[in-house]
Parts: sequence; C-alpha cells; structure tokens
Amino acid sequence: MSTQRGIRLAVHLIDSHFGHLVSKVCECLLLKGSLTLNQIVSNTGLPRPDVKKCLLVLIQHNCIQPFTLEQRGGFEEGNNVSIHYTPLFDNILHRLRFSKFVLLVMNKLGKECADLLQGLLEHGRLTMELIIRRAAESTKTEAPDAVHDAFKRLVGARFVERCPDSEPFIELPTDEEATTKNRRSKFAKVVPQTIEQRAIAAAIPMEAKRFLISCDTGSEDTTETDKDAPSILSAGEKRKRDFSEIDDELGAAGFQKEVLWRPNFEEFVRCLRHKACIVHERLRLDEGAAIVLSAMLESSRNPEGGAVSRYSVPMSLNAIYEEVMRTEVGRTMTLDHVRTSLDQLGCTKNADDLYSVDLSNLIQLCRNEEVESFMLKKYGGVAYMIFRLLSKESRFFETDKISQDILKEKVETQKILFQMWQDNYLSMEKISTPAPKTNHFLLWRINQDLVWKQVLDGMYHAALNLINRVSFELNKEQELRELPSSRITGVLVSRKARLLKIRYCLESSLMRLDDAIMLFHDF
Amino acid sequence: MSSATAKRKRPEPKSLTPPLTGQEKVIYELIRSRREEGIWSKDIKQETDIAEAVVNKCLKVLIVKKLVKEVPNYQNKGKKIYMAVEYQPSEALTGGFWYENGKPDEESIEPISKLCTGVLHNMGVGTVEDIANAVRNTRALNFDCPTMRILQLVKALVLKGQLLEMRSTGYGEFSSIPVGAVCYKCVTKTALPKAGAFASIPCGVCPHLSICTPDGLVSPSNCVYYGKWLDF
Repeated sequence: MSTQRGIRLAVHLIDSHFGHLVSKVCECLLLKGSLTLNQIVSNTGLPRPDVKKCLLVLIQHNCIQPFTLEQRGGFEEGNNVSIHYTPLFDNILHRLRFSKFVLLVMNKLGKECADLLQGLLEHGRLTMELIIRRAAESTKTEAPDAVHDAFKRLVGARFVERCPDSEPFIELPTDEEATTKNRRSKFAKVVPQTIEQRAIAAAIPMEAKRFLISCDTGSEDTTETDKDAPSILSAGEKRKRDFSEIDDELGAAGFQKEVLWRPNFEEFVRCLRHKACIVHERLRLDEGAAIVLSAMLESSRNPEGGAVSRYSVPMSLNAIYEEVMRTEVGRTMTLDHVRTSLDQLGCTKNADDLYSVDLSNLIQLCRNEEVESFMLKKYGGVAYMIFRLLSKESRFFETDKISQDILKEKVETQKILFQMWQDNYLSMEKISTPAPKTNHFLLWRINQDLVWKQVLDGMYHAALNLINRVSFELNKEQELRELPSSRITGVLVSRKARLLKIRYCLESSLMRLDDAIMLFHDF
Repeated sequence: MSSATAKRKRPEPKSLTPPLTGQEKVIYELIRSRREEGIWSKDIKQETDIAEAVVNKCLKVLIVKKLVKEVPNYQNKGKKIYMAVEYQPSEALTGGFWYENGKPDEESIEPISKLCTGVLHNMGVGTVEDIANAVRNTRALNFDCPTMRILQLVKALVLKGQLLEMRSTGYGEFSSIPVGAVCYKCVTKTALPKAGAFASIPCGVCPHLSICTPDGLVSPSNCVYYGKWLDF
C-alpha cells in the first residue's frame, strides 16, 4: 500500500542516503511503476550513464528488482524482450528501521552477528568472503572461523539470505494458460498477480537454496545454476543473451557469478510482528498469556516461509507447556494456567488437539487500539466510544441507536458523527421513509480498510515531518555541534542538553511511529 | 436518583373529562388513541383535516384543561409531540430508561456506572446478572433497576474502555460462570487506552496536516505545535 505520502517518505530516505540523482530515479519508478532504462531516461531527463549508475546503486541496496519481460510484438514481428526495473517500496522503507533489525539480532544472536548484519545493511549485498573479510578487519581479529560461525548463525536464523535472481524472465502466458486463468478467475475469484509481483516471486531462490551456505569461498559455477534452474528460466537467459541491448552493462553487473548475500527483511518483519503481538497481549491480558504466546511463536517457524501468516503453527498442549517451562517466569505456571492463557488468547483447537492462535486477529486489535487512541485525542471521548461501537460490528448504525448505546445526547453525537464523516473516517447513508409521513434517517458505518489507509497515509506524512524537524534542529545548532567539548561551558551546556532532549524526543517518537507504520503496512 | 423513581409512575386513566367543543373532542380522541406514542401536531392536522391555526388553538385549550401534554421528543427536539396526560412517553420518545426530558440522565448514569464498576472490581469477573444482583444488594438504589438496564450501562462502560467483555472458559477465574457465557471484567491500569504513536505527536491531531509541506507556509520547521511540544 504505497500512498502519495508514503512515496514522498521513501524518496526522502533515498535522497538522504544516496543523494539527489538516485532519489530522482527512485521517485520516477515509485510514481510510474516498473520502467525500462529508456523510459527512465526520458522521464527523468538525466544522462543515460547517470541513470545506469543510479540503478546499480538501487539494485545493490535491494531497492529495485530488475526483470526481463517478454511482450507481444507488432504485426508479423516476433515477441519483444526488455529489461524492466520495479521499485521495492517496502525495502526502501525498511531503511528507516535498520537499527531495530540490528538490535533484534543483537538480542537473539549476540554482538558478533549484529556487527555482521550491520555491515550487510550498510552495503546492501555482499559475498560471504567480503562479509567475513570486512568483519575481521573491523574487529582486527585473526579468527575468521568465529566470524564464519556468526555468519552461519545469521543464515541459520534466516536473517540473511541469498540474493534473488538478478533478472528473472517473465514470459508471455501461453494461450492455454491464459484461457485456464480466465476460466478459473471467473468462478474461483482468484486475485490475479501483477507482472511485478510475478517477477519478485520468480526472483526468490528456491527454499532449499535460499539459505544454503556452500563450502567453497562463495563463488558459484553459473553452468550449475543453469542446470538447476527450470527450463523456462534457461530459455529466458538464452533469449536475454541474444538481444544485444542497451542494458548489457547493467545486465552484466547483475549477472552474478558469485553468491551474494543480503538481509532477509521478511524474517525481520516476522520477528517484529511476533514481538508486537506479545507486547500487546502482555498489556491486554497478563504476563502468563504473553509467555504462552511467545512460546508458541518462538518454538515454531512458519513452514510456508511468508512473513505474514494468519495462524501460528499448530502445537499440542504438552509441546507448548514444555516450551513455557524453558523460560524463567514460565516455570511457575501450571498446565491449567497455560490452558487458561490459551483460551484468553482465543486459540483454536483442531481435530488433532493442536492449538494455534489467530495472529491477524491480534494485529487487528493492535490496529484498532492505535486508531481508537487517535480518535480519542482528535475528537474526544464521545468519538472514541462511537468508533469502538462502529468498529465492533461492521454494519450501519442509525444516529439514535448510536446515541442510545453510548448514552450521550443525540445532538452531541450527531455533531461528532458529522465531524468524523467530513474527515472521511465514516461513511454515511441517508434513507427516507415513503410519503406521506416522510422521515429521514442517517445511517453510519466505518469502512475499516479506508480508515486504516487514511491513518497510514497520515503516519507517513508525520514520519517525514519528524525526520525534517530533526534535521532542522540539528542544522540550527550546527555551530554548537562543531565545538569541541572543552569549549562548551555556561549557557552552551544547557543548549547542548536541550538539543539532546529534543533529538531524543523526536527520534524515539519516530521509532514508535515506525512501529505503527509497520503495524498497518507490513503486518 | 429520585428523579429516576418518579418517572416510572403510571397514573390511573382519567375517567371524567371536562366539556369540549366538537373539534377539541376530535383532536383529543385522536391524541388519546395514540397512547404512549403521542402524535405530532402536523399529523393531527393531516389526519383530522382541520386548519393548522384551529389545531393549535384546540391544543392550547386541551393543555390548559390538563387533558393533553406536550412531551419532549428525544429524536427531534423541534418536533412537538402531544400525548394524553394519563400516559407516559414511550422509550422511542424519551430515549429510554436512562433518559430524562429527552436527555441522558447524567445524575443517575454516573453514580450507578461507578457502582457497577465498584462491585465488579470486588468480584473480579461477573456476568451482567451478577453485577445487577450485587448492585441491588448494596441497597444504594431507591428504585427498581432491571438487569436489562444495568446491561445498557455495562455496555456503555465497555465502549468507554473501562470494562472488558469476554466469554467464560469455565475454569480459573471463570470457574463459577458457565462456559461460553458473556462476562465482564474491570480493565487493569496497564490495559487502559494508552496514547498511540500517531496520537502522541503533534502531527497526529494537527488540523493543518494536509497543507503542511517541507518548504510551505506550514512546515515542520515553523510549526507552532512542534514549538510547544519541544519547549524544554
């Protein structure tokens, strides 16, 4: 869900990290979708070599995914094949939360792994050899084995993965495929995948290969890759080499001979999602429920490999209890207590007596709380009650029914309802009874998806404002910041303390706001 | 709370009516036939086919003779509803048990809500029947308050975020409550609505967010709300 304000935030991040030229190319892609090199050049008006360099930077930092697209040619012409570049909006926004990823790895796997990840985040993608050499140089140790082990732990925990295919080939659907798809979509309501989604999915290596560390120094024979790859890809590669195109240089850069590694953002999102659920349940219910949920989520990995799964992996009561017993606080819990916590969490039991928790429901609760708190602050207590009432049941409510349920005066209720409606948080329908006794009724409901989208858009804007305010405050005190600490005395000490407080306040707010953005966008 | 007691009275139907003119009688009979629902002045005119001025005059006479009363309409204050004096306005007109003169009866709602929260706090978890019984046992009310009415208050408290609605699991703290029954619990201090990330920064509730741009008239660098927020 990339909104206008989301794009502005993403462009600002790229601008501050890689400069104006790269951000211009990135903005063009974010606004227009996937484009070829020629199209980017004509849209941005930048010199071709500059655009190529910008694209290389963006590829290196996992912000765009190139793919080769086969398109139907004109009359009596063969099919065209061209390389497109699609922006990865989510990956660009992840740049805002690198510190969270490092902290997560630090807590789970220790400092060595966190340092390795830090280097990988800074460089986007590296070979194993480079990662290890870089870490050994920075720590000035002569023990590459320890670094190698740390890297293995990172890959084992799936925080680091092999880079996706540099240019997956998306071929035209055959006539047979097209007719089957049409027939299926008519009856089964299958949501069709966009070309970009197909390209991103095709680029991801197979599950067995994605986290495979080869024993050699990290180089990989390309012929082997070709052998392993499905026939469609081989055909794609063949065609790709055939056309001596403008993208040769970029293609060669992307056409890897060595195994490149990059941070696996999917895993970070999954971990942060689990963490958000646990923290929320600790506040909503109690420590016991949080421990049980944590045990259910930590001990199992989602077999599908997707970042956002609806249910946790089903587990037996005994397995959950065993996992709970491993934690210090969990040791005091009885089996009955665990069972109660499972019920409190709304866990469902399947036919094999295995428990699983509906994570999307927990995320929905978190989202509702965020919006409720926003309503409370913006419109007051009555709006808070109205929002809770309407979001509980997604149906229309009549004004009188709302004011009766919240026990508030109708005039006051109606005033707030209109305010919320004007700001697009509610939808309203007017119905009239037929003549002669014409009565008008106003019906109200919340369009949850629309509200969430609007709140998320506001959050993107607010995040950009926080970033801009931080740089404004820092620029304002530039001279003070450049002074050596020995010369900071008297009034300057309090000024520096004030700047620190402001920076802390703004940056911690940005991190909290980013949690909320993830809640609505990534979870 | 005494007001809440008073409004439950149902006076005996009047048997003796003072002498009325033909039109007054027609209007009175029509109003009386509508019992506790009452009738709108415009509907009287339409149904009796009497001129508006005459209807208004007759209504004034009937009010003076204490045969008819004007009752507040909760749904529309500008719409005058007339009712025979022996009837009490229906819930559709008043808004219900917790309404007085078409407005929520805050004098009753506030203390009884506090009482509900108090008794629930003492019992931990309870169904609405448990809460209603506990409220009655306190003998703090000098009128009969049915369980359905307590439920209305409890539901409003849930919407306020002061109570938590849940289903009994049948064991632990729910051991005395049948499995699956809807029950209520006081919200702990930690679970009270906390300021969300978006609501706790100035942009979250800023009325000018839509016109705020980095280099515009309203911008994060010249924002007065930021100024106040960061005034350390």
